[in-house]
Amino acid sequence: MAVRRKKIRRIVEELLDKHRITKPPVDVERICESIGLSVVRKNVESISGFIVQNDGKVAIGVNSSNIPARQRFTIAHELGHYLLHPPGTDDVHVDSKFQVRFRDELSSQGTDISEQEANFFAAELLMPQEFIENDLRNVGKVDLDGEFLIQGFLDDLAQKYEVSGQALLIRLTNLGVINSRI
Amino acid sequence: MNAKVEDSQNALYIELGKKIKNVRGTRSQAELAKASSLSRTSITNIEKGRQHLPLHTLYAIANALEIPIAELLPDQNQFAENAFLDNIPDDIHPEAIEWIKEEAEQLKKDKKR
Repeated sequence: MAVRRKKIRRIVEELLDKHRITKPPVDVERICESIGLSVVRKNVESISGFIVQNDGKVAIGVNSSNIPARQRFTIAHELGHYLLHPPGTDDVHVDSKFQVRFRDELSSQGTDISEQEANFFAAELLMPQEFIENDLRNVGKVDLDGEFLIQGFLDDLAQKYEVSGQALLIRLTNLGVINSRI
Repeated sequence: MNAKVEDSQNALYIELGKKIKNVRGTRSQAELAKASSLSRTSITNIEKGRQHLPLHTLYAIANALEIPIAELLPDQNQFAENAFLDNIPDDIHPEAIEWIKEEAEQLKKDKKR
């Protein structure tokens, strides 16, 4: 199975519409709250977050030692799991209403499809294509090898969206707005 | 069959085996074997989860143990929870695991409210 980009875009569009979000930064915690997902924080080693589900009840855990931009991405990532990968949809034979997923180094790299989908969902939600296009309208195609000024521009943009510079760079590359020569 | 499905199936039979052994209690494997018309070796293998037993054999065991068959079947949620706890990658810090368990417990309490 490949990443369901169209489906994910549609879900994100509906979320943004429903919550009347028209500009960055996207308040991902407010979205979670309104859906009824509680977000809890703790300072622990080795994971950036997790989602645990049991019979319709859901909690999202976020590592409070991560920078706020990463915490936001983690929440968006876990929200993606909640919407895209309900318990019992894994390719295991035993159906269940209980499920735990956690986000660590390995899943950040997106080695399996569901992790890739959750990452794609998070990028779509925090950096909607429409918003990005709006911000880039007057800039044109950005060349990373180019002007020194561009780093400043990217920093400002990351700040505006409250995402990490790395997440923004990946997003812009995937949208084809920057040359991916890093 | 992929490895994940195989693991999950094995875990299911291991869980079933534990339940049978639990219910058997102080009775010997030989006693249960006789009452269910199975060999003692079969009982050993079933309790260890090594034998993927057919449904009629499970009925025979439930009858021999004099309990409803449903009581031998692993609870779906509990099974998934155990499977998760048994398969946590080594690189996850014990503190993080504790936290996840706490939140999972909290969800159960929330459910009862």
